[in-house]
Amino acid sequence: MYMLNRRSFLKRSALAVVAGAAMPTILRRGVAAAQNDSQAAASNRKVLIVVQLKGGNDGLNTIVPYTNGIYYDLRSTLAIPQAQVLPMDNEVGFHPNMAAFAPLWDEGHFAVVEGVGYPTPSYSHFVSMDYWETAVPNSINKNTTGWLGRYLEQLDVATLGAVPAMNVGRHLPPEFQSTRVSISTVDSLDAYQFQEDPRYQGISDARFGALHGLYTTPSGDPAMDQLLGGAFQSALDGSIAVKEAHAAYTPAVTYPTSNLAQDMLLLAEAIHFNKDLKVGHVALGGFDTHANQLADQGALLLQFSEAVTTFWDDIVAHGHGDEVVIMTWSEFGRRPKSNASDGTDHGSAGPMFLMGNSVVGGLYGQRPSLTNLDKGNLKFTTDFRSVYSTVLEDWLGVSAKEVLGGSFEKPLLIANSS
Amino acid sequence: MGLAATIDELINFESVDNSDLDKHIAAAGLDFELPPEMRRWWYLRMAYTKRPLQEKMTLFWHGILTSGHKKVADIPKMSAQNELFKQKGMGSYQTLLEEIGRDPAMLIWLDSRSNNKKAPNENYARELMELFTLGPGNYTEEDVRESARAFTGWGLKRKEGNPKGVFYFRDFQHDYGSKTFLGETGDFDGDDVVRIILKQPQAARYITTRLWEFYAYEDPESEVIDKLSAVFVSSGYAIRDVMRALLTSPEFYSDRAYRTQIKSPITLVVQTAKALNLTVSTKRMSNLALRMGQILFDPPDVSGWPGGAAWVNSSSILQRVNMANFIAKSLTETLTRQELVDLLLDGVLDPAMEAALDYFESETRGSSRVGVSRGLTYLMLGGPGYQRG
Repeated sequence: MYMLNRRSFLKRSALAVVAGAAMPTILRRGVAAAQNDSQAAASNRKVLIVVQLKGGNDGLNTIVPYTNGIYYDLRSTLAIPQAQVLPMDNEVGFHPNMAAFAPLWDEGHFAVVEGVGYPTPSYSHFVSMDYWETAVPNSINKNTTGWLGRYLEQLDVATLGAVPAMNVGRHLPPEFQSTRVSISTVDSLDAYQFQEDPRYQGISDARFGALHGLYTTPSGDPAMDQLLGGAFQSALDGSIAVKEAHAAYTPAVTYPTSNLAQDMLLLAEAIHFNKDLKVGHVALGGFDTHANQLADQGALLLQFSEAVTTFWDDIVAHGHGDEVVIMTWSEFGRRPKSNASDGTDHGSAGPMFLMGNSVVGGLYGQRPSLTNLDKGNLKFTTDFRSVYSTVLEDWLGVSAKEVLGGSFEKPLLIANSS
Repeated sequence: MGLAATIDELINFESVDNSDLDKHIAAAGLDFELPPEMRRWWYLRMAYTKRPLQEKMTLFWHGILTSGHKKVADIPKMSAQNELFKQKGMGSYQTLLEEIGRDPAMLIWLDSRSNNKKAPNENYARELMELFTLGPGNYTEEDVRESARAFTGWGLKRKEGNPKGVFYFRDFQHDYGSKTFLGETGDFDGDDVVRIILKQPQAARYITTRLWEFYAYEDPESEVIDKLSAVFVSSGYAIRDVMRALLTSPEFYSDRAYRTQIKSPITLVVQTAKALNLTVSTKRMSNLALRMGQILFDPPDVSGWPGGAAWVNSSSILQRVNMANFIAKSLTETLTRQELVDLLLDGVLDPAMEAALDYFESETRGSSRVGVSRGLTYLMLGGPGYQRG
C-alpha cells in the first residue's frame, strides 16, 4: 500500500496552499496571458464549438425539401408550407424559424451536409448517440473514449493549458471521455465556484491546501484517482477562469435569455480570455418529437438559431471570427412518414451544419431519396466520420486517422486558411 | 443483530414499523404542487425510513422504469409511479412490467397514449426491450415494430380530478392482427409481449446485472450473474428472492465491492444527513443533490442516470466539495477530530486523510477550535474518499 510520508505531502500541497483562497497562479497561465494578446490580429488558433441537438432532430422539417411533392404526402399535417420555407436553392430551404441563419448563409459561411448517418443505423437514442460520441458505430462498448477526448489526447497533453475544453451543462458529454484529459463542465457561473467558510477565512488556505493534497495523493486505484483528481483540478482551474472571464467580458450584442444562448455566452467569454481553449460544447435537448412536433420543434429551432447567431456576431465583434468553427449534430433524423400523434418516430440520416469564416458555405452531400427508403427510413449518403475528418484535418490540423481509427472521404467544407 | 437477521429485516421490511416516517413528513408541511417539494418528500422518506431497502429499490426502479416530470408535467402521476415502485418493487418482475405499461406517467413519458393502430408509436415498445428488459442487440427492429402494434390502444382517459387521465384500453385503436415477436406468432397484446420477453434467458441476465451494478459494482463476473439469474428464473421472477441472493453472495462482501463505486448524489446527501442525525436543512440538502447532477423525478433521459464514473465531472465535484462546506459551516460547537471521524467516516481513517488532517491541524494551531472542527469536517466530507461507497 502507498504510505504517504508527511514530507512529500507537504511538498505536494505547498503549491495548493498558494492556490487556496486567493488561488491566483494556476489559471494565470491561461487567463492573464490571453488577456494581453486576445486582441492581437492574425491569430492562428483554431477553436471548434460543438452544438448538440439532443433527441434526434427532424432533418426534413429543418432543411425542408419544399418542392418535393412526396415530402408533402409523407408529412400531411406536419409539413412546412412551401410559402413559409426560406429557400436555399430551388429544392430545399430553412425552416422559417431559422431566419437568423440567413445572413451567414448569404455571406457563404454556412454549410449544410445533407443525409449524414452511418451504416446499419440504430434507432435507439443512446446507442446512436454513443456511436456519434465515440465515432465507433456498431460496437457498443462503454469503455470507449470520445472522439473529442481522443483529439485532445493527440495534442501534447503536458502543454494543453488549464482549460483546453469546456462544456456548459451539468453532465460531461461522452464525446470528451478520455483517460488522460479532464474537461471542465460548467453548469452555471454562480454554481461553478468553491465556497469558503466566511467566519473562518483565516484558515481557508490551510483547508484548501489540505483538500488539494487529498485529491493529488494516490489511493491505490489509479483510475479512480484520475477520475476524481482530474475533475478536482479541472474544477479548480475552470472556476477561476470562468469567473475572471465573466467579470472582464462585455458582450457586443444582447444575448437572448434562453438557456442555450446563456450557455453560449460562457463559451464566448472563454474564447476571448482563454487562449488555450480548443473545444467548446453545448447541447439543446427536446428534439424527440414523437408528438406535437410542429410547435415543439419550431420553438427549439428558433432558440437554436437565435442563440448560435448571437454568439457568432459576438465573437466576430470581439475579433475571433477567423478562429472559430461551429459544428452541429444530432443522433439521428426522424422517419419521413409522420405518425398519428402529430409527430415523427426515430429515423436515420439527418443534416449537419458547419459555420465559420473558413467554412465554404453551401449544400454538401447527396440529398437522400424520399422514395428509395430502407424500411421507411432515409438511406444515409455521408458518413458522419467524413465530416469529423474534415473538421479534424482541415480545421484542427490533426490526423483524422489517429482519432477516428480509419480514413474517410472528406467533403471540402473548410477553406485551407493556413 | 447478526448478518442473517439484518438481511431478513432489510428484505422483509413490511414487518418493520415505519409510522414515525409519516409524522416527520406531516411535520414538514410540504406543498405537493411544487416539484422541489416532491423531491424533498422523497428525500425525507429516504432519510427517515426504517425500511431502507424499500426506498433503495424504489430509487433503483426509478432509474430503470423511469419517467420524468419535465415531460409528464403531472405531480400526482409522478408520485403514483413512485408508489408503484414502493409497493411492487420487491414483488414479481412480471407484474411490475405489466403495471408500468399501464402506469399513467409512463403512458405519457413514452408516448403509449398516442400509440394507435394506423401509425404505431414505437417509443414504449423499444424502450421496454432496450432499457427495461433485454438491452440493445437482443431483439430486431422488426420486433420493435411488431411489439409496438401489440401495445396499440393502451392509453389514458380523462377523469374527474385526473386532468390527464387514468389508464384506459382504447379498444378501437388496438391492432388485433397477428404479430410475430421474438420468434412467436399470435394476436399478442402488451401482456403477451412481457410474457414472451421474460422467456428470453437474456431478460434475467439483464435485470440482475443492472441490480448488481446498482448495489455492488460494475461489470460483474458472469458467474455472479449466472447465479442470480438462475434464482430469478426459478423463483418466477421474484425480485425479493434475487435480492436475498444478491445480499448473501460472497462477492457482495469482497474487496471489489468495498468503496469502489462513486456514490450517487442522493445517496451522498442522505447518508451525510443521517450521520448528522438529520439536523441539517432538508430543503438545502435535497437541492444539493440536484446541483450534483441528480434531479429526482427528472432523469436526464429515458435511460435514467448513467451513474458510476458519470457522476464525476468538474462541476459535480465542485458541488460535492461545496456540500462539505455547507455542512462544515453549520457546525457551531467544537468536536474533536476523533469524534468527527467516528461520526462522519464510521471511524475509518485512511493514511491520506490522516496526513491531510495532520497537516491542517498543524497549520491552524492556535486558531478558533470551532473553526478547526469545521475545517476537519470539510476535509472529511469534501475529500475523494468520501465520494466513494
